[in-house]
Amino acid sequence: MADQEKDKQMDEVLNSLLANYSSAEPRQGMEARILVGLNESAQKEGSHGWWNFKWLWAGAVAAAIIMAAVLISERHRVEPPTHVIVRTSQPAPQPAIQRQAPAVRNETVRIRPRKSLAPTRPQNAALALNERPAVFPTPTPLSEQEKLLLSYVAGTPREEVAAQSHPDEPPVVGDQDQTEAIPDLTHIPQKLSNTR
Amino acid sequence: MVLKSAMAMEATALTVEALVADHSRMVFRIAYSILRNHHDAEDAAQECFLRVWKRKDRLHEVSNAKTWLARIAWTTALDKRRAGRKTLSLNDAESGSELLESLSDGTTAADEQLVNRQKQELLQRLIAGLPEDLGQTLELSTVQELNSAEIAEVMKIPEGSVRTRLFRARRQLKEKLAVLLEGKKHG
Repeated sequence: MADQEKDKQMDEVLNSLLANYSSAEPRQGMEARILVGLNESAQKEGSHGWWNFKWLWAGAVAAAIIMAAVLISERHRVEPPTHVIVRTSQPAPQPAIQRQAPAVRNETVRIRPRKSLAPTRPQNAALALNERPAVFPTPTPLSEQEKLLLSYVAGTPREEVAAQSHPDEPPVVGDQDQTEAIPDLTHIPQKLSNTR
Repeated sequence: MVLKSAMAMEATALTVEALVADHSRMVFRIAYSILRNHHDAEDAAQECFLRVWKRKDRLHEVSNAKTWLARIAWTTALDKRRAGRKTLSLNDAESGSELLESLSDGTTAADEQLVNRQKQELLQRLIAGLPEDLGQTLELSTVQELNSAEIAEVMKIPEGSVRTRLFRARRQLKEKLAVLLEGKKHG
């Protein structure tokens, strides 16, 4: 009986405690604040989407610019250099016999101007590639004899030039000439070998 | 097409607004029953409706908006409590006795609001000492807007389980209260 009374008393205490446990009222204007917060988040999401869209376009434009830059740089690399025309130094005159049918070479070498700063090793390599002449071996200017021959050929009728031209006679191979035809090996300077 | 989607968005916005107008107080009280703080409860209510707004495309699938919203509010508040949990228990028996003593002297206290606050603090400590499933069921039962069937739907358990849990929770609370009262008498 006493236990029942005690239990009943405890129930009453507990009910009084639980009655107002969650009866709190929200502060005035909570609904409005919630709606404002929802609108803000909606606008944020909308602007975020637009920004995503914008970034997509920006990325596409940037990619196009990079592609164009790469293509332009490749095109410049393929084109021959057209900066300065430099004539190479005149070589030593050679015998006219060795130039019986000289080719008319009026070509020039075009190389890029040197940079003021001393390039580093990799830059040197790139520079060497850029300065490589279009024709190899490097053409040389005409010698005086070649110029005379060229003026002669230009000023003389073709028939006369053809009549004057004749092939070299083949060397006569005889007993006496054989020794002259074969060079004396003893006269050929030989280099001393360092190998032992 | 654009006009159609704009109209759909407007209709969805109106539905969320209607939910706010009809159930914001219930959402707040569910959050308050768990968080025990006005500011945190309002934050949780705000977050709850934000979650609803994010699921606005599926609003037409909701059969019972009240319990659906109550469940979102409950999970939101639980998440918030887990994030910044302050453990409350009756292990500190001395502080519990002090609270009970101040509760019994409440009739002479000038500030009744302070006494009510101390009562709530005592009950909060007692509930925090319960097993989690019992404590959560009891907390939801204190929300006036929810009956046992709705609590069952919110917690996704049978209604009979809700009643069993409430009975066990009340029994344990009474035992703890009795211990506190006995301790006060002998102390």
